[in-house]
Amino acid sequence: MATPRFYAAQMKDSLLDFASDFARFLVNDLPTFTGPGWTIIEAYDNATVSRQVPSSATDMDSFTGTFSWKDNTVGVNDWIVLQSNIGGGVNECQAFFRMASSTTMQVQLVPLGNWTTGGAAVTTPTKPATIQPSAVVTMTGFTIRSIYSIVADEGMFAFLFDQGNTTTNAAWIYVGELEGHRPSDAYPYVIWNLPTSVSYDTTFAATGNWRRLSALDVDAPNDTGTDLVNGQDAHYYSLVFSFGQYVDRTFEGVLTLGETRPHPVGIFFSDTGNRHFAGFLRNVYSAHNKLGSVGTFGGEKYMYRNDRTDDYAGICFLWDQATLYPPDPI
Amino acid sequence: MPLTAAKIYPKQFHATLGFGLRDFVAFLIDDHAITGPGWSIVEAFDSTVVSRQIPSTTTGTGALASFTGTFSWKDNTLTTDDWIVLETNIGGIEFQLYLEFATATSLQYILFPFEDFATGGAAVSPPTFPSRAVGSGTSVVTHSLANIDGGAWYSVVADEQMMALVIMRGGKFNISVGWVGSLSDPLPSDTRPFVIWDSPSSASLSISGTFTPFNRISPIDNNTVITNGLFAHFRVGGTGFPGGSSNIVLMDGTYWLDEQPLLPVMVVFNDTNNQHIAGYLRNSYAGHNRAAYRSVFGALEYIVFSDGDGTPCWCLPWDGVTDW
Repeated sequence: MATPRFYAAQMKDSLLDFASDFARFLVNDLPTFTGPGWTIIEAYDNATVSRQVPSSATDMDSFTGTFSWKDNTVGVNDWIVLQSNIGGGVNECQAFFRMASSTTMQVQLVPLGNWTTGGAAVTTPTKPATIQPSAVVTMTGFTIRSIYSIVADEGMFAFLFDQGNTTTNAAWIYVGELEGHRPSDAYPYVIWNLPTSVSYDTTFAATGNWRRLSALDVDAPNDTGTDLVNGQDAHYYSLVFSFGQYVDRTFEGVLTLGETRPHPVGIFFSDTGNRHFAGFLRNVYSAHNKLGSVGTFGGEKYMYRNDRTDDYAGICFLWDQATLYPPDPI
Repeated sequence: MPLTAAKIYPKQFHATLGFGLRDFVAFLIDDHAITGPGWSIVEAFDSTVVSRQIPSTTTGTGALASFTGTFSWKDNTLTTDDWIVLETNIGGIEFQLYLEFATATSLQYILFPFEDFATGGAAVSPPTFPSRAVGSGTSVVTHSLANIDGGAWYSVVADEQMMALVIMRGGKFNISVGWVGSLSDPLPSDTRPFVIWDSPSSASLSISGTFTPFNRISPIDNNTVITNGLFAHFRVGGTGFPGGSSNIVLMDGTYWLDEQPLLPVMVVFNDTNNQHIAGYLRNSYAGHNRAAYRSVFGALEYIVFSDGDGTPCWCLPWDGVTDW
């Protein structure tokens, strides 16, 4: 059973201020926060033009010499690769982060956990052929002081930054394992490819923005695999009085008892020859669009954020049951 | 008492409905060779001797034998109009279930969500029900099956707070379903999230705006019987979706890589002024419509069935041993 961990609503002046916290939280090496225990595979410091594998995979301070990830001086073009902590013989995934600029972070999923260490010390290292997506996911908008939040466990993380109450300068991403995947799916890892959309498209979009390596033709890390590019959110849909409605969009019944609830989000891939229901997001849900743009519910058990003013459902994180969102002031 | 994993009463053949009813009741109260969920007997009625009794032992081994004298529930001699009231086994807020051997081919049942059945009344069938009973609206649910009096297979999936009953005979789609119990993940203020399925002859999770098989007492006033309970299904983008359908349970095996996932079944009530998401069926899931009318998946860990081609299937946990 995965254990969720929270880095809830921390204010940072910039992306680069946040970068060290992000990595340290995931590897459980951040004072005052308990992280999910991912491990460090390798990191690169552009200032010293050095890539290192630390002596302790869970200790950021075990990098040697002057090194940005150790010294909390992460800068532009620095990158790091972290690995999940599922254990138990389960295939691990890895995540690649690169600070492409002071306001832009690139993220990719290494679904087969086959990052090769020790290559050239460059800011765009050689990556596994099966990295997802093949083009980087770019998170932009880190231009002003923002609120940074993470929910993560041994196999996944979701990250949100925003201003708490506006529709600009906001982005989110989900990387990692799905819940309830098919038993034969050895690498049930996905990545959200549209970070600037802080909501779910509960309309009728025919294309999706979830990415993964095919569950059908990958059985071992050396397989080439097929990139799947049409992963869609699946949401509960109810037919009442002969018309249908998504329960997290227009079925306001969810609100009639003066209470609300999170809704599970399934991920369905419709790529030809690879169509399948991949599983459910873990620790991340959808929230009814009528809740508005931001808030918490259930005694701060859930936090939601929605950058749309129309009928799209909001994203919803499992939360720490303590921290209000948005915090005041930011 | 916490909920435990579902107990399985797998595909037991009985020559008559009376034998079948008495045997799965024994399972529910854990007075059977197959371990049951430990419900208890509140009271029972034997129409032959015109007697209603509360047994000295209400649950576990020997419970049915603890009725006294000649008594159909003890002697396995049920005749029509015999009835029994059972209570669930959660140790806190529970419900009661009335079961009646109505005719040779039909069972009747109704839910008492406030566990307030009054014992000791007149020895009649049916007895006086609590005012807040719920079945098919305020009436009993009638569960029948063609030719059931010629013998049928009875299966039950149950835990401390729910029961799914499946009765089938030979023939491709000759199958029926009953479901009664508490939902998982109700709204926090909903302290009695008990629902009952009123359409046993519809043994599929049909997607329709007018098929409203679930009934319950309103969680708003704890009094009004509401009857417009229906399923919500997982759906992805519609227009242009490959395969011509966007309801996941309507997609065929090519959409599943030939594996069956477990899709939770959300129950939504749409009664005026009582609209709400009630929760999810426990120990019961939706399967896609191409799973065949009866099949299994995993190592007999789940069964899948439907009463028609092209309709979404029920999935229930199974015992890992018994063929289906």
